[in-house]
Order: sequence, then structure tokens, then C-alpha cells
Amino acid sequence: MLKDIYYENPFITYDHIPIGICIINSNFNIIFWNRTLEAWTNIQREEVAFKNIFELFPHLQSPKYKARLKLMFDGRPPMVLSPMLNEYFIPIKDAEGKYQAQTVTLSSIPTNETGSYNVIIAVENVATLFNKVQQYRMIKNQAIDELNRRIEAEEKSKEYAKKLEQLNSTKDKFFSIIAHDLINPISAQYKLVKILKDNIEQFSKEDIIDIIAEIENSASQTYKLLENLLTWSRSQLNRITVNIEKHNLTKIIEMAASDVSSQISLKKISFEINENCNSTVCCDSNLLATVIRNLLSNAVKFTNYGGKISVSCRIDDDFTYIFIEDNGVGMDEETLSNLFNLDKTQSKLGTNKEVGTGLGLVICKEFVEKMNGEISAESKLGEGSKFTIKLPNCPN
Amino acid sequence: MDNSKKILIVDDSIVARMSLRKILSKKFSNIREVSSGTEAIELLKTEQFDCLLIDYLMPGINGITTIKILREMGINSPIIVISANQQKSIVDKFNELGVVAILKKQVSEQDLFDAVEKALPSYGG
Amino acid sequence: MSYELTQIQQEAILELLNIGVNESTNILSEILNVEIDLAIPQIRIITSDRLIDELKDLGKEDYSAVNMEFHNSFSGISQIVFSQDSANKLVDVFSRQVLDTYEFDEIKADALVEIGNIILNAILATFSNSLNHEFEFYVPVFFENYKKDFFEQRLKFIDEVVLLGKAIFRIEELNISGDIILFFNIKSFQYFVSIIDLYINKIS
Repeated sequence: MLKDIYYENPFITYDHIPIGICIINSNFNIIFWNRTLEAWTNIQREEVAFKNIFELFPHLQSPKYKARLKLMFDGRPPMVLSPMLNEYFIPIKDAEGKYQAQTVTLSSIPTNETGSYNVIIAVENVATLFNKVQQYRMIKNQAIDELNRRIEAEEKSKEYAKKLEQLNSTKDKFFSIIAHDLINPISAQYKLVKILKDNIEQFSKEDIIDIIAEIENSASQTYKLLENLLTWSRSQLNRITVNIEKHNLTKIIEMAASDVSSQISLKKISFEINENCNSTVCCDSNLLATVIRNLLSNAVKFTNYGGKISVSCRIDDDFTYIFIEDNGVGMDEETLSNLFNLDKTQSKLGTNKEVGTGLGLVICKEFVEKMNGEISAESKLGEGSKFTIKLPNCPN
Repeated sequence: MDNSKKILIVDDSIVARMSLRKILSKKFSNIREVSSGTEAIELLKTEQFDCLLIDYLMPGINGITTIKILREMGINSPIIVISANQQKSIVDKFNELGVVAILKKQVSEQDLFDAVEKALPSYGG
Repeated sequence: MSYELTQIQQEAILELLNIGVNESTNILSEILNVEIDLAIPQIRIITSDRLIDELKDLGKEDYSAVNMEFHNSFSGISQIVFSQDSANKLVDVFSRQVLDTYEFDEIKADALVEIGNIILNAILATFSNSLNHEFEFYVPVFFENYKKDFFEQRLKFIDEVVLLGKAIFRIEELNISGDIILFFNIKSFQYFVSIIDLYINKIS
């Protein structure tokens, strides 16, 4: 009868529960190995009967297992070893070759002898739960990655919005320059031409020459402004190609200076290019010439009759510096700080009432930056200004 | 019954002192007790003992510090440590200080007398 | 019913508790690989309805606890409760020794069960051995995020006393310290006290 079997072998009940049960005696020999363990490990009970558990599973000799097992033989309360913190107790591999995650409970049961105990090792397979945890962890990490990606994308679109804003403001500036700075001189030219046409009989030859000179002056400046505007807008639209090569610096300065030579002589300004500029510079010759031309043009504009403009250079191991200095009217703090700022460009009349749009310097900054350089300015009101172009040397 | 040997028990727990005394008084009659390391140090400035039983975990200065200070004072009486705490680092520290034995609480009669015998080699009774 | 303990009875219980917790540090230090000091400076007796107020001392209402029931002529539930701060510190030390990478939250429960189990185990074993009383022990149970009302439900022996002590742990090497609260909810407390008296008689 089943009842009798239970009495004969009290452990037989353990064959009917889905938990791995192994019972060891105080010599650490296995005296029971249930069916579940047989199924999990493929080790039959006959194979392990009375074998020493430490010989069968040497990893159990580590103190954290051995010490706790030893204690159990004093009749202690149960101890639990969790899967997260303990390696497998009994090594059981699953279909993928991973070790089964186990929760192990150690309990002591008294034997017939007083004061003597056996220890039950109950092994619960928590692999499914464990795997679920891993899965959820993966999902969580994926969700976090996705979240980060979205945040990045949002940042990007904010960047684009900003860029768009900038472009809009550039476009607005463009239109405002056309609307204000160009319309006036052109309107003036038109008026002059009209006056000339309507009254040419009344004018003397000298008068006519004077008026034409004025028209010519205004037209030339207008042309320069328009040129500047177009250059600037092309630069904005990145339509300007940059070719960085080695060039002779003095030649480029001379080329730029030739365009302003008439104004220089008109205002009787003394102009010199220092010898230390006679050296090789790494740049795009067109861009650099435009920059220097613009800077010289400004210098001339804001220098008084009989003043002085000088161009000098300094070359060290890594950079080439070009200094354009004048002893003209200089600028105040506010103007100086907003010099290269597009939004704050102002039209300022030169010492000879020359007009400008302020775009020139903005263009200079952009061109210098296209050559990987920097531009800066110093100035003292009433004493003059000094512009510095800093360009990296060509790698040897 | 040995009247000649003076034994000092150092333990903050009255129950622990009681239980040690109970065992020791089977063979010794001259037993003193103090409840802290500091008291022990004070007492040992003026009195001599043949054997000291010192607990590890006590409020104030613990057993290790007490022994260190006693040794520095030049007191070389044999010391038996009674400690529930058997952590390796602690046991090593005690051994470095040269104690006769480190007994685990709750001390059995047999273990205690074995240790005392070791500590008092002249004791034969 | 008087729930007062005499001085000597308090000392006796305290001594047994301390022997127990000290024993547990033997194993804990093996696993944590650091020297750990654990001591219970004193105990108090309170009635079980006051337990919830005591737990408020732990700060928030979220704490982790491990329970272990014991049965014989006197029975009870021993419980160890970790304040969040102490729990985090212990789990951190525990897991650094045991794992390379881990998600703190995942292993927190497991680490606390093990630590709590080791401590309670040692205490109850000491009681059992010293009082010469063999208990039947039930498998430990873990509670996380212990909320007030959940605790009330679990309180098995209402109108009985609770022996409570604060265990202070220190890990010198890592400059960590914290506290763990121990409760012993003992049914038939009077009987328990009489067993303590027997023990005192035995040793005095």
C-alpha cells in the first residue's frame, strides 16, 4: 500500500513535488536525490547515493556555501540563498546552455539520534522569472535608448528652428539694406540726373562737371555697396568656393590696397606696408584680398585728412597675424563690441561723408572664418583703430 | 580549590560575567570582574592578575584596544579572549597580540578550563 | 499582565541577542569580505499596538523586512526591518562582493533577504541552543516596501508584546554605519520569560 511505502521511506513524498530536493547528512554525503533533480540534471540517484556533495560539486567548497551548510547541522533555522546573488547551487544547464537560476532553501531536520541533523537542500527553478526580469530589463533599456533618441531629435529640431530664424533675420537684413541704404543714394542720383536734364541750358560747363562728379561719386559708392551686398548674400548661401594655398602676403595686400588708392590720395593719407609682411601666407587669395580691401576701405573712411594707415605682420610657429592700423576717429565701446554682429550693423558716415552699410565687416569675419582664422578689433575713441587678422599657417 | 590564582573577567554583560564566574568558581575562588576595558586598565595599574578573560565587543574601548593598551603598560598576564565574533580579521588581530586562546561565546565548561590550563601552566590541580 | 522585565532578565536577553548577532557577522564578513561590527545596545518591551509608531522612527513608511516564524512551547515571529538608508548601504556592499554588474533595484530584495536571514538565523539559533529549546522554524518571508496597513495585517499575535532592539552595524573599512530594527513578536510572553529565568538560574 502507498501508505506503507511512505512509512518505509519518508523521503518518497519529495519525489512528487516540482522542486529539486537533495538531502545530505552531517558528513556531507547525499542520502537522497529526488526525481525532479534526476530530471533536471540527468544524474540518477544511484549515481550520487552517499557521494560527498563537495566532491560532486566542487564550487560548493567556497566559504559562502560551505560555511552556511556547515552551520545547518547545528539544527539551525532555515537559510535562503537567492538567485541574484548566488551562482547555481546545483549546476543545471538549460536548452541555451545557460545555468538555471535557482532559489535554494536549506532546512535542517532532526535524525533519530538526538542532536544530529540532516540538511534538506530545496532547489527552486526560478529561471522563467529570472529570464522575464532580464527581458524586462532589456525592454527598459531599449525604451530608455528610444527616449534618448527622441530627445536628441528634439534638440536637433530646435537647432534647425534656430537656424531658420537666423536665415530669416539675414533675409530681413538684406531687404532692409536695400530698402534703406541703397534707395537713398540711387534716389539722390536720380534727382541729380533729372535736375541736369531739365536745366542743362542754364548750367555752366563747370557746374555740369561738378554735378556729374557728384553723380559719379554716388554711383560708385552705390555700386560698391551693391557689390558688398551680393558678396555677402552669396557667402550666406555658401556659394563662395574656398581655395587655400600658399601666397605672398605683401602681394595680396598691395592688390587690395590698389582699389582704395584713389581715396587714400584724395584724403592725403600716408599708407605703408611693413617689410615683415613679405612672407608666405596660407589663404584663399581672393577672400583675403577682399577682407583687407574692406578693412582698408574702412580705415580710409574713418581716418582724417592727412592721417596714417599702416599694415604690418607677425609670423610665429602656428599663426600669421596681419595688423591694419589707423589713427582715425576710432570707435566707442558699444560700436566696438557690435562690430561683427549682423543684427547690430549700422550705417556710419565716414570722415568725408562716405556711406556704408556695415556689411563689410560682417563679410570680413565670415571670410576669415572660412579660412579657419579669427578677426578682432581694438579701438580708442579719437585715437584710431587696429584690426587683427589671425590665420593658421599651412602645415609643412 | 585554588586560592592563589587571581582571575579577572572583563565583559560589559552581567549575564556573561555571571556565567563565566559560575564555571570558574568550580576551581578558583579568587575571581574579580569589571564591566569595561577602561575599568580593567584602571584596576591593572594597581593590581596583579594571573589570568585575564576579556570580551571582544564592549561599549567604549573594545577587547582588542584594551589588550593593546595593557601590553603597552607592560602587563603580560596571559589573556583568554571570549568572543561571539569569530571573523577572520578579528581573530588575526587577537593572535597578533599574543593571546592564549580565543573562545566562542557561549563558552563550554570544557573549553574554558582547557584554555585556563594553558594560561596557567603551573596550575596542576 | 505585567510586561516588565527585571534588570537581570533584560541583560540575559540582551546577551543572547548579542551573541546571536555577533555570530551572524562571522558569515556576513565572509560574504561581504569586510570586517563588520554588529551590536544591540539595548532592548525594550512594547505592546504590539505601539509597533507602528516605532516603525515611524525609520522615516518613510517604505522599508524592507524579513520575517521568520518559530514554534514550540513559545512561538513568535522574529522580524528584521531595514531602514532605506541602511538597506541601500548594505546592499551596495553586499553586491560589490558578489556581482560585477547589477541593477540595484533588482538585487536589493534578494540581498536583504539573505542578510536578514543570516542575522535572524543566528539569533534564533542562539536562543534555541542557550535556552535548550528546540524550535520548529518556518521558512523566512520577505516583505518589501512595507506599508503601515500591510504590516497591521501581518501582525499575528495582537495584544501580545514585542521585544524590540536596534542593532547598529559598522563597517569600519568603508565608513558605513546604520541600524536594523529587530522585533520579536512573542506569543505567550510569560512563558518565554520563565524560560529566561531558567537560563539565568543555570548560569548563576
